[in-house]
Amino acid sequence: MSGRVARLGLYLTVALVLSYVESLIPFSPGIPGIKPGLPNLAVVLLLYGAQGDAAAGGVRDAALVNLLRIVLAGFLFGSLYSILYALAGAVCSLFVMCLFRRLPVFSIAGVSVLGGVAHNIGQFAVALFVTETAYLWYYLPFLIAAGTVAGMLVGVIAMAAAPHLQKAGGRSV
Amino acid sequence: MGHRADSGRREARSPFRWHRADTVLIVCCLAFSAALIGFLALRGRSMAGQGGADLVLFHEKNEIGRFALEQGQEQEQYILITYTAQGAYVQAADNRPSVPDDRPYNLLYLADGQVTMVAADCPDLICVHHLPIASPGESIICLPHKLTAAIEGGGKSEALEELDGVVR
Repeated sequence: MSGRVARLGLYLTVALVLSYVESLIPFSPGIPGIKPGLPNLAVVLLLYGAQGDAAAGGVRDAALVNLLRIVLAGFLFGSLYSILYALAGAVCSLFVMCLFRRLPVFSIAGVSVLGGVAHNIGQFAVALFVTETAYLWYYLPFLIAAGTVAGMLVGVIAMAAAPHLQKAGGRSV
Repeated sequence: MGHRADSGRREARSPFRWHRADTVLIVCCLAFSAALIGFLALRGRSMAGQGGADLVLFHEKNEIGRFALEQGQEQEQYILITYTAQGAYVQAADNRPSVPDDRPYNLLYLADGQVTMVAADCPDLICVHHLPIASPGESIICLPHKLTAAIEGGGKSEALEELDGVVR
């Protein structure tokens, strides 16, 4: 129990720091909703149980850390709007990643790509609901491409980090 | 050949190793979005060629203003949108107006057939960081203020419906 608290606390810290780093990067490609999504590194690693034991892959852990990260980062670096959008994206993303994690088709990178695309489609759906304008459809292809690239980035980093996490912490990390 | 496929499948069990399916997935996603972007760009260009484009402003779902865009001419215009509990107000000016400090606002700038959001007091400033828009179908949307600034051209509604159908 206390081990789990410590572990999740660490992951939450990493996710929050990455949120902060991301808010510092002056990255505005001119199309709204596009960012690297670095904090999802922590979520993806948690989803895969980080210790490499896929059976222990913690959907609950990933969901909990992501929720806390979104609320905390929203109040620290964002606004209520950004919390709403982030939540919508996170729910879609986690759902899709859970689904595809069970299939032996994709690696953590492929699952992360699907998560990134799902995240952006979730946010897109909320924006469509809020604005009710057909003009939004114009953004969809850009958001799909951005989700793919961001998901790949996070997936590749997770792929590189996972063996080290396994080695360093064994079962307790 | 059969042996290779088999070993590939065994390797696919490790989630921390790159799979061929990952590459296929990424290429498919990028190709799909690139095709859609290309389609939209061609559409916008052909519509822009069909004559004058308009900048249309919507607050929530209501049209609150319409301005003709003059391509290549020396058009310079500022459009200030302010919001009160009663609704949104649109003012056009030739010189940059001062922005209000007692109520929310968005300030648009029209020049050379391009529209830019130059100032706003929304929390995220996503609309201000947006690229300039010029072709029919493009838009700048300020979600916190529920403002949509969109370019419309000849046959616009038809094209958007068609796009709707394609994306769905």
